[in-house]
Amino acid sequence: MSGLIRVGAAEVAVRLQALSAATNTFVAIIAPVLLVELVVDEIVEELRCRFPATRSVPDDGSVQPLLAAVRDNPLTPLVARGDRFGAGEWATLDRRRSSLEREGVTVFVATEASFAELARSAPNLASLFGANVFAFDPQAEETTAAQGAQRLEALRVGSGRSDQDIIDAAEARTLPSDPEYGEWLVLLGRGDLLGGE
Amino acid sequence: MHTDPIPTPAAPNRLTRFRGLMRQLSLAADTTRALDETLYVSFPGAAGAKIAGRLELRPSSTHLLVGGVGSGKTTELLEIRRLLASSDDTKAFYLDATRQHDISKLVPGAVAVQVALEIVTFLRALARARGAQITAQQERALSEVERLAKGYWFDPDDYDERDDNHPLFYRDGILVAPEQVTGRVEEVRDALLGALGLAGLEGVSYVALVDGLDRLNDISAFKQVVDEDIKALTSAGVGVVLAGPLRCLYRADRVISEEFEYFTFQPWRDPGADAVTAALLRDLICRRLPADALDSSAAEKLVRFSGGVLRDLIALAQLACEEAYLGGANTVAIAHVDTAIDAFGRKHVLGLQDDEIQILERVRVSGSFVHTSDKELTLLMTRRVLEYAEGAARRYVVHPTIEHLLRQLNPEASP
Repeated sequence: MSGLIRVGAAEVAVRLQALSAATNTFVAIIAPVLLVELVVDEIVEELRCRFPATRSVPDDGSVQPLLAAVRDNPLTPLVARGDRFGAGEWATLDRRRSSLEREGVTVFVATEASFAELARSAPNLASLFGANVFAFDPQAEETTAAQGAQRLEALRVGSGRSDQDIIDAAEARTLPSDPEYGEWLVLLGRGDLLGGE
Repeated sequence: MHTDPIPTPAAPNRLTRFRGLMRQLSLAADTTRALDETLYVSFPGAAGAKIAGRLELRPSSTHLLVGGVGSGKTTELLEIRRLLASSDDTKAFYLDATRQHDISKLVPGAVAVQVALEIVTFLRALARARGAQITAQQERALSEVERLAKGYWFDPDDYDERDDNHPLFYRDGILVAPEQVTGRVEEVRDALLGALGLAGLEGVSYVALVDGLDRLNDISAFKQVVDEDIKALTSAGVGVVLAGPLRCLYRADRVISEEFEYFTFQPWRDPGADAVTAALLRDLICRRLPADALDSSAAEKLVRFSGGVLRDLIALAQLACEEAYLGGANTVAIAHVDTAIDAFGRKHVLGLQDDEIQILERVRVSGSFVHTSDKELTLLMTRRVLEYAEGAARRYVVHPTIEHLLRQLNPEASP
């Protein structure tokens, strides 16, 4: 594709977890035309392990559902399709950039062509993506899995606890709510034990 | 297996620490909060201090502030508000004109009435804070601004309260269905003058810091704001600082700047221009990422490859920080910065057309750039080409993150 950093859904979730304290954060995931819907679903599913309230923005090809979702969900991560937006839609979002600014992260899944149109028609909005523009690659998950295993080992060594200790404590609702333990559960595939966002 | 309770980690864990760093690396100023002085860096000749100084001397003066995307215009408007906050006799309001109104439907009065609403809201809050009773006459004056903004019911003939069947008509507010409304800016000015006259705050000057209109593509719509709204506000004694579109700098559109008493260009800061600029850019990033989080050579590289675009500097640092987090490091090092630079550059060239690449290549090799068409202006607006002010002269370069990519596209060109 374009030499962009390649990510899978799990890595998107890890990156967003680190980014979640920044305000006005926008991330673009570039996907092949035919896979956009699938990629949205995968990312939403993965994000929900860490941010259970994550929402997928309904897609009717217009910007209205996105503006409504942003207005109604100031903190929640949102995942929106940008592949059907043309110059007009992006220009509208550029003028209404202030209405898109919020605490929660907004992820756009777009094609290379639609992102190029965004850069051309919405320079103000495009500048808020910064360098957070990635190419979707399902095979990138293997790297993420290796990083996850490394991180799990570091958590075990750092705390002197086993995975089972953490699961037991979570089930008994005695696990402190620190992000470190949340991350541990997610890496174990037990995001279901997280109490809330 | 341990059976004792699992403790809260004694020291912040990596994720918490990196989240804290990311919080400092947000890409847009949060306009709902006061400007964080610990993060603000004042460059020599900074627009904020310069304009605030002029407003202290002449509160009802008009100012046009123009600069590229990510050059820090909003931050400077917030800095003006902060600097004027300690003044007893000047009250500055920041407002984003795009929040309450679709700027693709600008009509005369759409900006003036938003400024007037801010002032009326302030006057009401002041009356409440002082425990002052608002008389019916004062209430009418204050409400008039709100009626103009949001609309109201009226009777074209004199309304008779006793006649329940008498038809009422709704008059749209300026901020609603604007295409049906014209010529109402004078009403806004008169209503504002009425409200100000009743406030009992003689000697207080008002300054509106108006943001958001720099995103207007339609320069004639922007000119209409200048011709109608800004004139109405100044004739009511309100000073205005307006962030305007970059194209006010070029070609025939330059004439707009002549309608303001002061014009300030907020340039991107050339990190290679002098040691002071480079040090201030480094300071800006080091205030967000302390020494134990950012290697000093990595900081230097971030500054150099940002091209002095403040938002891009923070964006590069943000991605480098992500890379450090994912890579298990505790400090952002050169390798993380390199990844961020490459990713930023590749994003920046995505979708470029052949003729745009030719223009960029010419700028890269010879620094030659003439903005005669919208195509060139778009390259400036999207920060693929950066413009630096050197006194009255201008110098052009391609964004440093795309230099190596252009060189790969055209390996035979020099240098």
